[in-house]
Amino acid sequence: MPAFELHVWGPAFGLPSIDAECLAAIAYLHYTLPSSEWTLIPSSDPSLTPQNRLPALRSTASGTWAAGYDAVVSHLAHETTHHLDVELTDAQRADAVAYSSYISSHIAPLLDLTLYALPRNWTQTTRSAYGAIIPFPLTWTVPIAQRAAAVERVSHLVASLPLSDGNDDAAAQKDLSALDAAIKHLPTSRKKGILEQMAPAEAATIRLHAMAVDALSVLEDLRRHTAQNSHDSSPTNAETSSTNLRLLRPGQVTSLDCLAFGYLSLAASAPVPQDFLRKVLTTRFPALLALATDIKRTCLETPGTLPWTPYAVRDTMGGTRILVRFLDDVLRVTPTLGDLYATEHRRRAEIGTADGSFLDKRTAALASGALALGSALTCAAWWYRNLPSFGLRSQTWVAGGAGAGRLAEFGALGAMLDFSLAGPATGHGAEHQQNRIVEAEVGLD
Amino acid sequence: MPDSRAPPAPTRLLAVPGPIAALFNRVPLAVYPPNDLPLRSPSSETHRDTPILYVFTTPDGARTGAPSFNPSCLKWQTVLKIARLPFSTAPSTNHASPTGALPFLLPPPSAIPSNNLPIPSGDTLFNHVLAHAPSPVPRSLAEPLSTRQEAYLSLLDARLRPAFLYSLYLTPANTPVLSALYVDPTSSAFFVRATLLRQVRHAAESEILKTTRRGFLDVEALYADAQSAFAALETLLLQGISASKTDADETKTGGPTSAPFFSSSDDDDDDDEEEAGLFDAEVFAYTNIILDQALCWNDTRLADLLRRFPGLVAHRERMLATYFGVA
Repeated sequence: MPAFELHVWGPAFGLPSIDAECLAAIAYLHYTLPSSEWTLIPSSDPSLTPQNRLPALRSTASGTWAAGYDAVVSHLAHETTHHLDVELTDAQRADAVAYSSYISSHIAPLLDLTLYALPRNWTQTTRSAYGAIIPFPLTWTVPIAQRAAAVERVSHLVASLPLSDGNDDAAAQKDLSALDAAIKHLPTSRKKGILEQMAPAEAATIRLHAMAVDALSVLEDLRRHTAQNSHDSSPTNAETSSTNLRLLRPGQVTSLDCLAFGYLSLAASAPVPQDFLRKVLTTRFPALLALATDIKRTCLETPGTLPWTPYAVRDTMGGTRILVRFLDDVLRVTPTLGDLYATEHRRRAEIGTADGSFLDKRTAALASGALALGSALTCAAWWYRNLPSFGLRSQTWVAGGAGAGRLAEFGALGAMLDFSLAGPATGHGAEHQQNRIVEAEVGLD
Repeated sequence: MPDSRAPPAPTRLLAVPGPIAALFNRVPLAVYPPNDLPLRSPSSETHRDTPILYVFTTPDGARTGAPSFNPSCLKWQTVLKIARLPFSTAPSTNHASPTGALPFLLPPPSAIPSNNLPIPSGDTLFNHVLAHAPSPVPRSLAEPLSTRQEAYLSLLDARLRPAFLYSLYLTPANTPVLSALYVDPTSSAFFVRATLLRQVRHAAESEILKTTRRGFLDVEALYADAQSAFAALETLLLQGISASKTDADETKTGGPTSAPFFSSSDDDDDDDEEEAGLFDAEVFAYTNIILDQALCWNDTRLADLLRRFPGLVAHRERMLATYFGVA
């Protein structure tokens, strides 16, 4: 019986997972634990944990979950004696914390941009990759939700970028009238700036290129610094040896190396059409690319095959679960209800960590409130439907009351005769109470 | 109407007595100059010679130049102090800012209209400070951050900021602090305050969720993240002290400074006066607010975490003493 289950997003692009943190966790576990002690489950289901995040590590003995790469690493260190960062000095440990948070706050957005935010990359590469790893009805909801979350994370970067599909130019030319086309060919005296002459996509690529170089050079500096320190101690090492391809300690794999491997290998392997990140990696940072390749060899290939286990719930329960997830996803994107549902879901997760009671006072209040609101709405709707519609001309028909004589039934002439014969009618108030409002459609022109 | 053209014949009864007529002839007794524009309007001052930094602060704090209670405002306030650029602060809100976020700097009035535009925080403000500082800017400030400092800077945004936001905006015990700082100065109407409080809380919540990428607000994890960030920063700070000590041992034996600055870590100082840099300002912007007793935090969990790291506490005190004149 393996002691751990690692749930990840499924494989893509020739790598064991489509998600960078999942890749990092796989590399970490495969390097640390023997294959008999853990299983790798491509469940692609973040809702397994309340954190709503993969990778998620479950220890089968205690049944506890840890979600996210940092949590997986510390959970593993807590449950077993295996920890790759034990031998680090205080300074190196501080570096590990700082640079891992740098990777997830500066390099992760680059991947979000490459795989999700750029429209061409998304439609041609990432969406189809997701289609291969998740079961059928979820392919309608999960990739869209993943993309929306990624775009939200990089919204501050996307806002300043002129992103387009590249089809805009063709569409614009189609719309040109003959006169516009003629004017366009007239020579203009005004010279355009370099940025104006470029298509928006090219300008965006330049910006993206600069961002990628800025972000990756921090990591490259750390690697070079570590390599220089190792040269001071043992100058016999060749420049290309794997000793130099580590971030914190020469020749030793740490959790930071695994994390960097996850992001760098995904950036290098995804066959996206707008491949600014891969170009930057191959041309400007060959050492980082070599680092990713070397970690892949050390952590994924050398220890043997990965302990893949198919996702177990493929029976009737599996079908139900998929359906529940699908409905959950649909509910989340419903306009007003979705926000309420997501908030309530989240609050429940927060309470769940505190005391774990399912039905509390808040829920009861919420349910009774919903009930009261629903019944009030129903009553209001029923009342509204019984109202006469606005704008219709209403006509009043006076039924012959007790006070009117019998001749009053014969129209105006009868009333006149009735008045002249019997005197003025007495029961005006009573008559008015018997008036009825009758709807009638009267054409007005 | 011929009557109105000719003045009516003076009657004895209605004639104005002589002294009163003489008095009214002198009216108006004095013509006052037109009112000045409001003091806060930019064109009202023609003789102001210091720029104004608009920050989140109280009117009292603005008068005494006290540190702002908003991290990003305090960062730029500190940068200006390090550069020894004379300036005054003024209380403001996000709505007043041209970019929608404080702080921004209003330069002194100038004949060139484009020089009168407010300068938003960011690289523009930093370059303005470098260009307009009266004396040469300290080398620690003018030099760009090292890549290692950039990496450690991400700790503040990715790990410390969510915990800070949680502690200020979402901890129920700290609601009085939040109201006093950000909500109450805005309006005195109850409904406006309640709505605003709800809005800022919601914004803080979504910001935390976006940064941490967790499905919900995991309070323990937030504070654990903050603690790991403090620990890493403390290590970086003490590396600096050990590095500068080895240098100092050769030249002068006694009197090491009480706490180092981050920027003085890697290279030996030629000048005797140590100066802080941009990184110090970034760290101080958070540590000062967390440790500020005057804000009357009710829930001091984050402050208690920070007090376990004496280097950071001493760093904050030295920054306060050096640049804000608080002993």
